[in-house]
Amino acid sequence: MLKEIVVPNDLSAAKQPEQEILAEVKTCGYCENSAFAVKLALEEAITNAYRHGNKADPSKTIRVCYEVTEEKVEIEIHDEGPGFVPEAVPDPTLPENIDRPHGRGIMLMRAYLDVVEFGSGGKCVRLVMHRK
Amino acid sequence: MHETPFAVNVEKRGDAAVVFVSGSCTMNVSKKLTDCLRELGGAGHKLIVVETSELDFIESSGLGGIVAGYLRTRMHKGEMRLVSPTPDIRRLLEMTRLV
Repeated sequence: MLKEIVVPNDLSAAKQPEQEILAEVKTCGYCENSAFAVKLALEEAITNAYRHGNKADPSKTIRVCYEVTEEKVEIEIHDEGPGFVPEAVPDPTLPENIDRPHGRGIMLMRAYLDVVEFGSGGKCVRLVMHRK
Repeated sequence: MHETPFAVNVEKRGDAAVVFVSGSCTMNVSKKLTDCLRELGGAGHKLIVVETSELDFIESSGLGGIVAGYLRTRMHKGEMRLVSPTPDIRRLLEMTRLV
């Protein structure tokens, strides 16, 4: 059963679910590298929800659902934006994109976690990390 | 993972500037790094050194700030170097092919 936290579309307010999830990650005894990976993926997903999904609109919200167990960390981040097509996001590691200041978030989530799945037309991302 | 206070301190040494970046560069503070490096990049320094030995976390907006600062520095005929990253930060830079 996933726990749910809804926060205003604000990067400071969005630290609350991050801190709660990381506290559970620590309680469950995950290593520092795993905590780093979860924190990075959460920051990227929440920033995407705030900036690209909700377009920095303070009247919108970000919904975070999560479960931390001995076996895995599972998180869903939902925004209220129009969605997007993940496959249309350019690969930031290609030479022609290296100089672009933006566009590395999805790539980093995929590099650090075991599962990164987009749903609801890009309005939701599901993140899973299994205990190593 | 413990989050440490984020700080950006600049020391100017002749034509050069050293930027000491420390703590956790998270989503709600990374703009501070971006603004600092953009401003320095446009100020005509021949060399900007970004010292990261005390930086324990950075997300993609912060990385983007470094890229934006680098581009601005280069546009103004200067050079930017990022030095002393911790293993976690070096891994991030390598994954994103920024080093």
